[in-house]
Amino acid sequence: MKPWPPSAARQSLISCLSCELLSKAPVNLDDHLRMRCPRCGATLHARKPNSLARTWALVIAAFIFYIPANVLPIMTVTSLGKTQSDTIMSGVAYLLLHGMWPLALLIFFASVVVPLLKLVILVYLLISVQLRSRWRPRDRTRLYRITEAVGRWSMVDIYVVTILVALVHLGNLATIRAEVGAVFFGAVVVITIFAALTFDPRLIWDRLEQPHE
Amino acid sequence: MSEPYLEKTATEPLPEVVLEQRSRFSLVWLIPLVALAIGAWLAYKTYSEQGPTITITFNTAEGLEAGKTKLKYKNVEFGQVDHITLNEDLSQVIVTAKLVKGAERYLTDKTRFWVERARVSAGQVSGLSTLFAGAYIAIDPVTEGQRAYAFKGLETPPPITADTPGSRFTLRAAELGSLDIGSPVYFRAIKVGQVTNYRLANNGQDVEIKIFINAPHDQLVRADTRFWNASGLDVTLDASGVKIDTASVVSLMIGGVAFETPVSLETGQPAEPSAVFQLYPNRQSIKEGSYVRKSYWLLHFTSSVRGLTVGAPVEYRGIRIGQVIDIKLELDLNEVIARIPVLIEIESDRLQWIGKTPDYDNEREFKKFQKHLWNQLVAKGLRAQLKTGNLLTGALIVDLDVYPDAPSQTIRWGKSYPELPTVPTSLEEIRNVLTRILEKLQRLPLEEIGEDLRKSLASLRQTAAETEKLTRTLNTSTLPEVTATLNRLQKTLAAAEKSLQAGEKTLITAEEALAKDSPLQRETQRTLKELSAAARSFRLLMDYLERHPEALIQGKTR
Repeated sequence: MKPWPPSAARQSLISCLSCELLSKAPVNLDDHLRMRCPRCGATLHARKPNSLARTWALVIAAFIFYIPANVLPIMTVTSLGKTQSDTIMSGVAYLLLHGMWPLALLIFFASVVVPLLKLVILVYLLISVQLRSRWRPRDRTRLYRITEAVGRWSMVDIYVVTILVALVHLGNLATIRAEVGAVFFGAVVVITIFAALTFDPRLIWDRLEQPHE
Repeated sequence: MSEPYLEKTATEPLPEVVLEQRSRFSLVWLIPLVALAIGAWLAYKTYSEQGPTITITFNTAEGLEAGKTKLKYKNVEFGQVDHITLNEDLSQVIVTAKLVKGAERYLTDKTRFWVERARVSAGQVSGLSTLFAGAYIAIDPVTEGQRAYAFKGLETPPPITADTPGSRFTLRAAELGSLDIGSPVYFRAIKVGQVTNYRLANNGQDVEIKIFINAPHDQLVRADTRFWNASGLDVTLDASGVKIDTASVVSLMIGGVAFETPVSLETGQPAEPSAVFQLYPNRQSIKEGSYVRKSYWLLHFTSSVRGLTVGAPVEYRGIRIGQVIDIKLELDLNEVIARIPVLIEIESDRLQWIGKTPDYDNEREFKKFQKHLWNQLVAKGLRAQLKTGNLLTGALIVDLDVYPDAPSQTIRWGKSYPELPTVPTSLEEIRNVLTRILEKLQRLPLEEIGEDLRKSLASLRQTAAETEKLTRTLNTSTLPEVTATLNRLQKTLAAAEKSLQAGEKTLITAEEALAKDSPLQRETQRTLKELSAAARSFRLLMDYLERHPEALIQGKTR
């Protein structure tokens, strides 16, 4: 095993994120104790606090919300007395049926695949970290970066709905209303963004530095 | 903890971190808990709001879309079509629909479903909104009745929904005419209802038309109300000109029914719900009466039916109650007898029932009633008989009358038509005539007449004898005298003729003589002058003689 360069963690050093003070941390920290900065009093963390648990919590919440987000209609279009409620998938199907497959593909990826993929990737990362996997940490880190970068684009759908609702208010001719599905979808996107934020990619590398059991 | 790296960078000892107790529970787990709670609530809500699922069969799924078409009642969403399938033999469309929660109580066997599409008929235009919004399935919910989850959809919207106040009645007509579902019903030219349905009656002879009269106009329908078909034009041409009668232009196109309650002997009770009425062909016939319910009877006449034609009236004591339908000649090969069966129809509706009215709708009940009634009538002596309807043409009619003395007979309830007993025709009539003549003869004072007659004859004989005597006398004595007289008369006449001829001659001579310039004329004038002178002298003489009559003896005294 190739020796890794020294790191603050291995030196039991910890820096305060508020006042930049580097301080010495105890080697084996008791679980029920919390570290504070001796200078400014800010809470100190060697890694993002409680990262795995928080990410898990958010990922599970996102999964729960993912179901109503896809089952419930996200918007209702009333046009000339004809009312139609659409879920994300029925909207995609509608576009496909009418030959607008590039648009259908776009919405399908942005609204269905991306949030699901993000959640799946996060779950994979969480599991791999908990299993102390040493497999391709660099690629896993890249995966994490992609997840974090792409997550916000899922909000496109929500923006489209909100803009349409605001613009299309033509009385009997055409009216668009947002439905509860949109709320859940928005929740899924926001919660996955937070889940990606609470996950600490350094955890991927921490396992590598620990000796083999 | 004595890594060289640290020692190189850290010039002074680093401060130790402050340690403090931390809470065991991480609040972050609240997020999935809340998510779970919301999810669970949503799931419960979806489940609890799940309404009943029903199936409706239609002939066509035109305009229906699975997952889109709504079920509506008074334009309020009641549910949505879930999927549409065909039944096994491909004859019908089965629409499965999910209804909203709480819809169960409106799902009874009387609840009706139909597809609301844009419809244009002569009477009205409906469902225009569906042109843009698409068709929907409309419901007419009825809460009373058996719970049901499978329905047969109507092909056309029901004209009357369950919540419309009013009454239903049934009309019986010989034919439907131009009436259709939705045809208006008029009272004094105001639309008060409409035709809701029609069907062929069970007996196959007339048409049953169901109508609905909206409240409060249904109160106008009385037990003796007459309905007539107001469809089309009623054109009458008579001495006063052309009369055109029509209820409205709408009824011209789609037909219509009108009614009115005639002022009559009977007091008008409000009609019972679902009462049955006659539908007369036009306004005039409500006064004449037209009869739909008919019963058929067979009559066997042994005598000649010369003069009886199809369509000849059947009368009861002079009141027309039906007509002759058919006349045939039958030869009974077993008994070698020719019979003449005559089929007549009796319009039972012409009878005014007094007492318990028969139930028209219950076919069996009515037949039983009729059988019983006629049996009783025949037992009382009701018989059919041929009678002369017209003395000039010799046309016969069938007359029904009660002959209490007629020999007892019964109706033969045969296979096809019941047979009414008849009374022998001509014999009966001849016998009646003879009886009448005999009665009159009986009343004559024949004996007196005989006596008088004898006396008259005797005197007559005497007169005759005397006359004879007289004649003889005349012959013997008077006649020769008369002959002689006649001969003499003849001679006299001849002489007279001669004299006349002579006279004629004399006259001619006289004429000649009397000519103006004739000597006779002048002579005559002179003679006349002298004659007048003579006459004057004679008068003088006469005057003298009158005064001195003695002069005749003594002469003139001077």
